[in-house]
Amino acid sequence: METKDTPLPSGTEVVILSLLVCAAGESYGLNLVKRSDGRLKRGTVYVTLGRMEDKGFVSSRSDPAPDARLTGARRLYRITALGQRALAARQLATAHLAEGFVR
Amino acid sequence: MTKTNGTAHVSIRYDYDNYDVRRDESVQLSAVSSSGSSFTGDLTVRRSDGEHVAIEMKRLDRLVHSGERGKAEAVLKRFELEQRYGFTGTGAAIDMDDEKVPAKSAPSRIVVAPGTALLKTLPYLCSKQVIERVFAQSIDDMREEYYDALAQDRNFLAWCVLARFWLGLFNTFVLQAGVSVAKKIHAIWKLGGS
Repeated sequence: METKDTPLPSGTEVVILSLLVCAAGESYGLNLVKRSDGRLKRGTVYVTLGRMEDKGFVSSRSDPAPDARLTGARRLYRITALGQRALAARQLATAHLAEGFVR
Repeated sequence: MTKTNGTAHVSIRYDYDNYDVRRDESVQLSAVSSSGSSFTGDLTVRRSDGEHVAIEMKRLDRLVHSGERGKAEAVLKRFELEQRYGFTGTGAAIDMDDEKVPAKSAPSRIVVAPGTALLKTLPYLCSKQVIERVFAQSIDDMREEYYDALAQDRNFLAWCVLARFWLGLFNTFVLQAGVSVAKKIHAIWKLGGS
């Protein structure tokens, strides 16, 4: 696996990427916060998601559900191929680090 | 207030032109909150005067039967009601035993959703993209949890949701502003370096 040029995500970003991988589709911020067991905060999750979108780790779209017509539409987030590579690279780096400590 | 078959009696103002409801007709109602969350419930039409319809709706029976008609009304007013066949309107709780169905000109109490003032203020402080991506989403989340708490008659939890939102908003502001400033400094530094 090529990890050389893949940017490594931060701890919070890893949590979000892992949850999006588990979601196997799209998810919105509050859903991610509820599933994170307190690792994500309501006040910061959308800032982090916005930053991750700028980096290309996630993509988002407006929810076209008819229920959303009364307010601004919710944004649904999906992990991108770059996000998957970044997550894999981070997990690989963590594994190597752990291996180094064991030795 | 009299209990009848364990159901609440609420009145829903509706658009008579779009949907012709008849006495004892069962319909399914979809209620959509301003945060986008929704619930559906079966209701039975009990009385109609062409402008209002008195119905039974199990979802609100606990509030109405505990004598808290105002709360049931507040919950209903926080929902835009949308029947699948074009039945739309807002609700007001009444007692079925009352002989009078609310008059056409009955004053209505408008409940402003929490965060509305903030949404109006934000365009002066942030870009449209930041509002849509960050703040509008946070407000929608808060409203979803707030209305869910109110619908379950958990007023203290609803208050906690509001308090948590305002505290979280401070974090959001600090983080958003911090990231923006850091990005600007980085951009200037790169310009200077090249």
